[in-house]
Amino acid sequence: MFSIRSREISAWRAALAAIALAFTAATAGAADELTIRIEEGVASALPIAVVPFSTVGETAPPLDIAGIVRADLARSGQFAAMPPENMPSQPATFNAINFKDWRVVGMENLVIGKLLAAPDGGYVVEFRVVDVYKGKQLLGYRIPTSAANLRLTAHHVSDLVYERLLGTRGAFATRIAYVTVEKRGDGKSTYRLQVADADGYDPNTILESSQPLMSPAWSPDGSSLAYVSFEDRNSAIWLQDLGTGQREKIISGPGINSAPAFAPDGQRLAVTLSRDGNPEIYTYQLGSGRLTRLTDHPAIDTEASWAPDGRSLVFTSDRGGGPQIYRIAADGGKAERVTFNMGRYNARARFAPDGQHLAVVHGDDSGYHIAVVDLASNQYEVLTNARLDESPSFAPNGSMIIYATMGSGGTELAATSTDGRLKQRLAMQRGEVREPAWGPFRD
Amino acid sequence: MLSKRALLLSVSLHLVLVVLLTVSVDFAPDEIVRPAAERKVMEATVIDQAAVRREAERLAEAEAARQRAEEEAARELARKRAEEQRRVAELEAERERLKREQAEAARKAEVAKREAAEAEHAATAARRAAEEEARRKAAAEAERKAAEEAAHKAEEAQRKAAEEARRKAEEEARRKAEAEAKRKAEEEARRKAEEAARRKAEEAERKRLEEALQRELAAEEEAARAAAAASEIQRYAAMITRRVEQSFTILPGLEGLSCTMRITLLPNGDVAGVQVVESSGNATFDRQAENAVRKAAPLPVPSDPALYQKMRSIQLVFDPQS
Repeated sequence: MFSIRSREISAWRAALAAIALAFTAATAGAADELTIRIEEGVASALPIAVVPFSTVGETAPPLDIAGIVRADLARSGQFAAMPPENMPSQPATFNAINFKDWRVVGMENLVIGKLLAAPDGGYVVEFRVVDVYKGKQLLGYRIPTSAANLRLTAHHVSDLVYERLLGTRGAFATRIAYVTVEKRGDGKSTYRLQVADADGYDPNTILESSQPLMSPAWSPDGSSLAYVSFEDRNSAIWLQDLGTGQREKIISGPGINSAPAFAPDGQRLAVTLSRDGNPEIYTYQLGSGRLTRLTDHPAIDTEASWAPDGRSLVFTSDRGGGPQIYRIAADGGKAERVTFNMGRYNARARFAPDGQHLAVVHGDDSGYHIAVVDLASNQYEVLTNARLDESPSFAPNGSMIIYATMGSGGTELAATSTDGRLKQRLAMQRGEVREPAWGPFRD
Repeated sequence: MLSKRALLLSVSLHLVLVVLLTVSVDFAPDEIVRPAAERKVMEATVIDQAAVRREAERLAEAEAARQRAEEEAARELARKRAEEQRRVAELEAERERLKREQAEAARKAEVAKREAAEAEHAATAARRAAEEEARRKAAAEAERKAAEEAAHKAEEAQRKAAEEARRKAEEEARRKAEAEAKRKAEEEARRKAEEAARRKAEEAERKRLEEALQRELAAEEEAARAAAAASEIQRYAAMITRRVEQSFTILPGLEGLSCTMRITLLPNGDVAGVQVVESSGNATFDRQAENAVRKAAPLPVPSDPALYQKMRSIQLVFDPQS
């Protein structure tokens, strides 16, 4: 009896000792404090509720500020914005928030605000970002604005919310430039260079031409655009000040003059010129007008994009037999191929703001799509899947890529989050829309 | 007269015979009635006064009657003669009969004598038999009595013997019982002593084993407690992990980051504090980690205060595997 019992106990002891050992081993690293590893999570956008702003002093709000903010945040792919009809309440002040209600619906972040009519006829937008679980305000601003700038102010609000909650700068109060082509009844077309808000609203035509307009490129400060115009029957590179509307033809010569790209310092442009007989990449020094040839190859080299640090460029070349992306130092030298094992067609690279990624047009059997290439790993990810997507351009914060895509009525603009999870067509007018270029932050 | 005498004689004879025949046993076997009995019949006539007158009257009458009777006698004589003759014949027959009867009587007497003798003999025999019987009976009685006595004595002896035997047996039994009892008592005492010794030894052994077991059990218990606490804590840790992971939002682009938080739990599972031990370098990721904890609250916490103490402060390492 005793011996049997002892044996049983011995067996127990062995088992328990094993458990105890395992436990000790598991917690050995953390002294006597329990350590729990969280290795899973829910891949999701950040929940946010942008409560409709209350309007003071006017019977009807001139603009749905909260709606614009909500759309901005949602379009980024980073936020899951709660539809107003799902909100448990619509408080306009901090004291009116019933935190329990919001916690019940799992809402982490609240944006509440007011649109106040100012005595001078303008407006004041007042808003707060509130952490529901901590029950405290994360951010609060009063922004005086005007009726004309209300939309921009709304985008500013989006930027502030985005930056406060994600830690990276928002790019909603930015602009995009693009070219539209309107086919007229006489068989001719009207080309327009346009600048709009990043969400596609408020388009402004900065140049209209009966001849093709191409390749708009933003100056780093956002004050001017470089572009290609065929108004002289031959291609020429022009520079236009957006504030004054003044424009200047800066490069024109025999053959091709195309694909301008501002260097990050704002003092140089990379361009494609065939004045030497073959399309090559040159740098153009603003002010001095000095041209420096970077590439020298019998194949076509074009579509240059500067690295954010300004020390290198990538470009498209068919020197390998088909269009692929190559990289070259800003002061010239040997070009290195960047895109390997990515199929037969990779073109029109654009540097991401982080300098680590490129957006390219990637051609395969199903068409032309926007892909992102990780320069460090040479891995790439195809983000879009329409038949013909072209001209990718990163938002200045790198969170989104705008591009042109073939729609039912022609080409139109679309935006995708850089992880490809969220794609959205931008509000656009009629006709073909080409070559979008996302402008820099507006400081 | 003669006829009268003869008649008388005859009657007397008959009487004697009858008496003899009827009370033969009362006569001595050698007294025989003789013919002299005729005189005795005369002498035997009883004379008294009344009887004499009656005799005279009878005699007168008898004279008259004798006249008549003489006359008659002549007739009677003839008849008598015939009669006599018949009577002689009859007497002859009678004599014959008497002779036969005498012979018969003699025979009968003889028979009677013999019978008497026989009877005497029989009586004697009977007496003798009776005496014998009595003697026998007495002897038998004596014998019976003797036997009875003997039997009684034997019985008594037997009884006594049995009694003695019983007594002895009882005595023996008692003695034996006493001896057995004594033996048993001794045996019991010995057994008890042995039992006590054995018990003592067993008790000592049991105590020794029990103490060893207690020590072992204490060790086991300690290990088991530690293991149970460990497994209980692990169980709660697993629940907390699940809860926090369910509320941990991994935002796009922040997959590769990790951070460590120290959370302080109240006994009801509410989160008293979240403190960044090691930042991911990305405030948004850190905040999502913190929010995951706050969203998951109240967290499962053991009600056992000792276990709670071990879970009051927990390090959470957020390291989502992409």
